[in-house]
Formats: sequence, C-alpha cells, structure tokens
Amino acid sequence: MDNNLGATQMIPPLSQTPPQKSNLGRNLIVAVSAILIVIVLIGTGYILFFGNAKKTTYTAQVYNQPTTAVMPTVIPTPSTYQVNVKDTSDNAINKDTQAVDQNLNSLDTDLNNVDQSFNDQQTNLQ
Amino acid sequence: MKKTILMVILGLALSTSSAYAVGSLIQTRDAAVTQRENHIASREAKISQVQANISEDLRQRAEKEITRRVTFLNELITKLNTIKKISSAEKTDLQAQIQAQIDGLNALRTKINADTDNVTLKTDVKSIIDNYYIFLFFRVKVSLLIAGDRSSTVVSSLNGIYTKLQTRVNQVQTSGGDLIVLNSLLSDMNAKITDATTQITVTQTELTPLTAQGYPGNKTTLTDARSKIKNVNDELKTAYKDAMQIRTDLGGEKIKNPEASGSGDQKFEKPRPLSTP
Repeated sequence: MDNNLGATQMIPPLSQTPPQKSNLGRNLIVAVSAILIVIVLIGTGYILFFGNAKKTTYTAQVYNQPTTAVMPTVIPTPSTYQVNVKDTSDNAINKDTQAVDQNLNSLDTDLNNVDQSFNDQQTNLQ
Repeated sequence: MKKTILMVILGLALSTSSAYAVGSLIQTRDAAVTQRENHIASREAKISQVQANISEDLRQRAEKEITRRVTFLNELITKLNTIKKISSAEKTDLQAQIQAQIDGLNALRTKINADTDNVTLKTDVKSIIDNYYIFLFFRVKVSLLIAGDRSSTVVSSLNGIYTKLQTRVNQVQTSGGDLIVLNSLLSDMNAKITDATTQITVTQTELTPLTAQGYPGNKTTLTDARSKIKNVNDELKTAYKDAMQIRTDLGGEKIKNPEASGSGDQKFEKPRPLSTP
C-alpha cells in the first residue's frame, strides 16, 4: 500500500519562471523623457529670460525716442483762478475771460441747485 | 305588565333619540364654533399680514427718505469746505449743525429698523416728517451761500478784467482813438460789477444769522436772497458781455502795452464767442 503510494506520488512540475524581461526599453523611455524635460525647461528658461530682455530693450527704445512735448491746454480752474491785474496782454485777458465764462456757467448750475432746494419734495411718509 | 314593558321600551326609545338629538346639536354647534374660530383666526392672520406689509412699506419709504437726506447733507458738508467768503467759525458751526442732523437721522434709521410695533414705528416715521424743515433749511441756505460765493469770485475776476481793459482803453486815448463807445461800455461794466458787489454783501449779511429753528419764518429772507443772487447773476453776465464787447472794439486799435512782453505794439485777437447765455 505504502509502495503504491510512493509510486503514484506526483513529481511537482518545475516551476516555469517567466523569461526575464529586458529593462532596455524601459530605460530608453525614461532617458528620452528626461532629455525632453530638460529641453523643455531650457527652452522655457530661454524664452523667459531672453524674451524679457528683448522686451526691455524694445521699451527702452520707445522711451528713448525723441518726443514732441504736448502742451496741455491751459484752462483756468473756476473759483481758484486769480487775475493778475498787471498783465494786460491779450493772452492774459483771454485767460481771465475764460475763467469768468466758466464761473458764470458754474453759477448757473449753482442757481439751478438753489431752485431745486426750494422745490425739494420729501418722500410720502403718510 | 305588557303595558309597563311597552312604556319602558317607549321611554328608552324616546330618551335615546333625545340624547342622540342633543348630541347632534352639540356636535353641530361645536363644529360651528370651531369654524367661526378658524374664520376669526384666519381674518386675524390676514390683518396681521396686511399690517406687517404696511409697516414694511412704511419702513422702506422711511429708509429711502433718510438715505436721501443723509446723502444731501453729506454733500452740503463737502460743498461748505469750498466756500471762501464765509468765516471759518461760521463754516465750522454750520458743518457741526449739519453733522448733528446726519447723526440724528442715522440713529432714527437704526430705531425704525428695530421697531416691532406699528405705533412706535409710525411715531418714529412722523418725526422724519416733523424734522423735514431742518433738512430743507440747510439745503437752501448752503445752496445760496455757494451761489453767493461763486458770484463773489466772478466779481473779483471781472474787477481785474475791468482794470486791465481800462488800462488798454486809456492807451487808445493816448493814441487819439474814439473812446465814446468804449467808455460807455466800461462805465456800464463798472456799474454792474459795483451793484453786484453790493447785492452779494447784502445777501451774505442776511443769510448769516438765519437758523434752522427760524424756518419757515425766515423763508421770505431766503427767497429774497435767491432773487438777489439771480439779479447778481444777470448783472455779472451783462458785465461780462461788456468786457467782451470792449475787447472786440479794441480789436482794430493798435495800442501800446508796456506790461506785455515782446514788442510794445499789440492788437487784440478776435475774441472767442460767448458761451454763457
């Protein structure tokens, strides 16, 4: 009985180890990716650094261009304008009359405000 | 015996039916009472809702009016700072009075928003109506002071222009030019400026002592001040037109201007059209 048992005992099959995969492909992908990342980083740095540098240069050129001075139109500020009595030139009288003109327009507005204040109506609260 | 049994049965039947009838009546009455109570409760709920709506509406209108007044009063404080022709003491006093009004209105707004019963709410809202005259007085007075101040500025500028034009006309006289029209215009310009100055002074004098407590009794004084400022405006416009006419008339004359830089001889340029009506 025991002998039979020994005879019929199965010999376990040899474990078939899978063929060792080569790391070559994987390493190749990693290497290519790393190179690409480095290229992208270098490219970005280049664009940021030299791009800004070029921009600065451009701006400087614009600013360095000779510009024609645009004189602002001198409009006397109402209320604060002071007539210089000694200056009887055309230009001075023009400025004086402009200031008066503006103040007269503002006076019209003030008088409208006076009328509105007299005619003020409060919200119906009854 | 039979008769007795019959009577008992009849009595039982009668009492049962009576009890049933009474029960039905009570049930009906209870239902009616419940219905009536529900009706009353529903009506009270509707009344409460209507009252709540009225209160909310009143509260909103009060809020609107308070906001309107506070906005105006704040503007008045800002505008008061621009007035140059009144003393700083008067300015400070007016600003303090207006600020007190603003504070009062803000406190009232808080109270109105917190009011829970209609009676208090209506009383508080009524106080807005009662104090309206104070707001109105300040609005009118400060508006008049601003207009008066502006008029003074115009007078000051026109006085300067008058002096300059007079100088130029005198130079024409030296050159032997015709001065009848020019002098007439100068004279009219001077008269208008002088009268405007007098009216402005009178206006400012009558405005200064007016207080909110005196309103509406002092309304006639305020109305008078308004008509004076309007007269002043008309006179200043006439003086301005005179000045522009003098400039135009001087346009053909070559005159000496010792103050002007460059060559001594000069000629008026064509003046720009008058934009003021």
